[in-house]
Amino acid sequence: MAVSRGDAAHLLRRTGFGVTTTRLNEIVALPDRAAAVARVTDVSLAPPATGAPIGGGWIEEQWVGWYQLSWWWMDRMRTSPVPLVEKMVLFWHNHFVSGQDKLFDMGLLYTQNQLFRTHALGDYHALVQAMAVDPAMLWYLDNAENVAGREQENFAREVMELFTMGQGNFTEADVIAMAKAWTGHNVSADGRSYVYRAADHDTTTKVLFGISQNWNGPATLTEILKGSREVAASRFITAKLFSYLAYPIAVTDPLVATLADGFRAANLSLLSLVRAILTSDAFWRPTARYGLARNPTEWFVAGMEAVGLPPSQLHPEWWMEGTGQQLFYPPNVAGWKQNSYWISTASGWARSSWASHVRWKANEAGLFAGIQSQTPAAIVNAGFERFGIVDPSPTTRAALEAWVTQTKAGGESWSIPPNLVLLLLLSPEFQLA
Amino acid sequence: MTIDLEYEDLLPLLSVPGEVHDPGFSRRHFLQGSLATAGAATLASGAFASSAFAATPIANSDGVLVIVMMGGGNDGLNTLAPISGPDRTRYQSLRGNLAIPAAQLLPAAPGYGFHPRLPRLAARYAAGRVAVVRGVGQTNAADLSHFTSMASFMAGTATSARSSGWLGRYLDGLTEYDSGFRGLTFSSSVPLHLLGQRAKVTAVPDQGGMWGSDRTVGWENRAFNAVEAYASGPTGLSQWGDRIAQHGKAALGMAQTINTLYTPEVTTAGLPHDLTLAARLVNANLGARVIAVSVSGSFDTHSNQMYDHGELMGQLDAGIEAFFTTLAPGFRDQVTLATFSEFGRRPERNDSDGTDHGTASLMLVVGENVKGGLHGAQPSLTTFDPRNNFVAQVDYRQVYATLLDRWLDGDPTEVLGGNYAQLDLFTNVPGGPRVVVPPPPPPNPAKPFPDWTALVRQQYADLLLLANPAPEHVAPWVSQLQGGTTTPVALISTFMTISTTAAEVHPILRAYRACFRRVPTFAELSSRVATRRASGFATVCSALLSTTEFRTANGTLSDAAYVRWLYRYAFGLTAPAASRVNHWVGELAARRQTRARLLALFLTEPTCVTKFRHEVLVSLLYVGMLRRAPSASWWTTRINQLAAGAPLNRLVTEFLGTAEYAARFD
Repeated sequence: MAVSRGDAAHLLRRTGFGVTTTRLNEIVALPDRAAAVARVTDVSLAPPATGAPIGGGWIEEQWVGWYQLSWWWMDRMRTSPVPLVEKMVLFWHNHFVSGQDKLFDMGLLYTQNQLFRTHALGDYHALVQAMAVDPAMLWYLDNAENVAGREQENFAREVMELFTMGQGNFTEADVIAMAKAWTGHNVSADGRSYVYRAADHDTTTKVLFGISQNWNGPATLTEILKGSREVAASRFITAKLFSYLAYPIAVTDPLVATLADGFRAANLSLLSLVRAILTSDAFWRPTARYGLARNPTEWFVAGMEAVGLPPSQLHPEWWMEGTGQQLFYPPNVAGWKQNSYWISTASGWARSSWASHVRWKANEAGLFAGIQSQTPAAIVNAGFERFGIVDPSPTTRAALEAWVTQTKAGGESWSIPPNLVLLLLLSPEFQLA
Repeated sequence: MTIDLEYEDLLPLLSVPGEVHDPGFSRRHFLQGSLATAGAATLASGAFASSAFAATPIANSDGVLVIVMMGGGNDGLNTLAPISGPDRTRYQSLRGNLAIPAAQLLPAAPGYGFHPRLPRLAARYAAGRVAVVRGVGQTNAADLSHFTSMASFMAGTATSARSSGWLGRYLDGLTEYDSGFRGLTFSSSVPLHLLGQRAKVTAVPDQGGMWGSDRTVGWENRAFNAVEAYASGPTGLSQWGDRIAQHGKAALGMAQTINTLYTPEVTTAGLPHDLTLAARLVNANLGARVIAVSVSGSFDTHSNQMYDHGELMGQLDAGIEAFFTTLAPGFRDQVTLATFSEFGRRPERNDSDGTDHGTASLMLVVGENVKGGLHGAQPSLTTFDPRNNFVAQVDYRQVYATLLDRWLDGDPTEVLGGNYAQLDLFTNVPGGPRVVVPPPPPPNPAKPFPDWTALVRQQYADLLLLANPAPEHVAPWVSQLQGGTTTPVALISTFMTISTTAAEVHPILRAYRACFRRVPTFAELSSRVATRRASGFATVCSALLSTTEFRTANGTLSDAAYVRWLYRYAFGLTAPAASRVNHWVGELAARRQTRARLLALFLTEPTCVTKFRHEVLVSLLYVGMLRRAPSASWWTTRINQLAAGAPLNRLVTEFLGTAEYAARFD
């Protein structure tokens, strides 16, 4: 069955950011959904992740380092032929959370960001192991200072509660044992790389998940992902990833159990899990189609794709904090949430303010130039097309056509090209994922 | 890197941006909240609930709590210090040169006096309106880090759960918890103590001019109308599409509602600024029950304590005074202000003229119905805990339980997750009989003009270049200003963009930019506008083209060069299509067009209007309001402000407030 334009736009929004006519036509031309999913998950098309502007430095340079790396990342999001890779990097950034507000070191976050990219759709077990000893993570959750005799429980707790299993699958005693198992897994003298110091490792026998042995860090994660906790762990990450790509789902949902079984059978291959989610019937139903609001990053990037201008001209970084999602600054170790979390008055002001900025930049670049001579219906249709809105609501269409008519009647047709950009960015359709 | 974060670094970790909602928030709740605020509205078949832009006003018996955070760890011992007796002797030996001289302290309770920078608070204390709860702290503190302690004070739970705050959970239980007007904070993000599971908390910006607050500009307003129209019916895009549309509309409404708080302008900074706005928020009676503010700056006085702590005390004193003097008399018996800090300082000074992290400190509870005096108990100055810190006498949750139960009519056991012995902090429940006395009008709001009429006439002269406007044209504006339906800033912004100005003044400003790359003097502008009104714009253009300045600035131009010049300077196009150039050259050669008529034509084309839209406004701000040209650097700055989305209102506010503008009318 061929892919409809609505389905194609849905797939593009969920596996990427914007819906340009070029991307849409490419998907619609494919024979069926399977081919479409194969195309958007073809990670071999991803360009090499080079050229990041990384400077070192002290506090004064942090801002520059931050916005330049944000630009670099957003440029990849908006231009990659397989934006799914960057979409997954964003997922992992919000899963294995580390934040610049505690680290003050963009270099470490860049290293972590590249690590997310390397493992984005690879082996989940390898990703978890890599994150445990990533310097940014070691600092962010204090394992850098976890030594025998002075245990730090921060990482031990979060790796079980937020990263791999969720509450209810471990006890407070497990937290203490886990903390001891990770003693000695610290950072080098300059603080920038992982080092294991056997002398600082607790070599006593510890009881973790009821198993008594001399546990050492990496083995605990293997136990969780591939041992006694593997079912809970696979369901935990499956539910979170499904919620990110399709719609919010409970970890107890039968669909999660089925997908998680397949994930384990595929030896924890993330690419296979993502393909299973995208090819599931649930992904194509209305529950999924209308189940997610765009987070600010998705909205910024889709906006940049629609007007065809880069972040260096549209400056999303000036408004990121106001919208509630400042890349590299997650609010806390639990990360950003979904849907309602993004729909608020204050963040609405910030989104509107960016949209006001973008309309003039788009206008200077000639977007919609001269369109005011067309009929209201033609103007609005051209706007929907440009912004990848395939199935607009009648309410939105009527609102826009009335606005065009009144603006013309008011003798201010010149304001139609810039304000068309503004109004499409702020439309409910464009703020949905 | 240390485990303990500095106070400034931890705030982001204990806040979330903007507002939060519960992810499991149902559409049913959403509609109920909207309907409740819409009063008697019912959900008829096919009808769509409209968002209200305030909550239901509070009842006479409702208490309001203003919670003031003193982040960093306030030194309770120097806030209320021993003035005589054995504690004084002990205090001097512990604190050395950080001990405030007894003669400077402001006597309060027996043996103790307030910090010398708290004179107005001391006067309120003397009047019986301040409860000082001494020895407040964590009775089971895990460590002395800012993060752990602040998170505990903000969360206010019996357990170690830190995912929500005590006031947020209280707000969850109120009617219209999702209106955004029950709990508000004057900060860029919502602090943990206001985070609940479902209550919506609004982060109020520190200055006005939010997107949508100015509805006076026609073409902008039509766009705002369209955003509102997105919410005029179901989107058919599920609850999320509906909610996005509703919030787009609500953001516009809230911007207008909240924007009124910023007039007249608050000229103070820090806590006095925020507490003045907080008092106006209460006065406006938009339904607020909990308002959070914080002292600007850090109480983490490891060094240089004498000066730094004095400045902070001064800010606290000024802030509390600003709040209660701004608060309308009718609300005085319904509002209580309380302070908190994550811990106090160590009794003994350190080696760098400061004090390190301590434990117990004091909390201030201020208001008409507060039982003034000392509460709790002063921790011993001779016997300390194993870390040489004060031993807490009162658990902070005892104070919370009291505020919840006695002032906010909340359920302390449910909110705090445990039972805590309450203190006797209030003489009365909120409310009671009261006389509503409107606050006195600010003296001469038309300043620097003698009255509204003079203000309006001056704008006709400055911005429309009409020296003698007809009285019937002036009168409606004056009545709008009197009635409060417009403000001087909005009026000036309107005059700058109104159709008369756009048609008769803007083209001349564009002509000066295009022909001379400068702003005209006011005399030039007056003369050119007069010519335009008498003989048309082409006549003005003809005069401009024949000036020496034009030849000096642009050289002598052939017809073809002139047409290319037009494209470049009027449209910003450096490479116009040859066919277009040839067309106009042909028209000129055939004498069907003159150069002056062509200039007039180009300068009134939409392309030109768009290109110069910021330059026209900045020109008019300077030549109209200040009667002078801007410097090159300020010119660029102002253009960039507008280009970055700054509303014209904001610039007008700035110009209107300058001494230079006022000096014109001395």
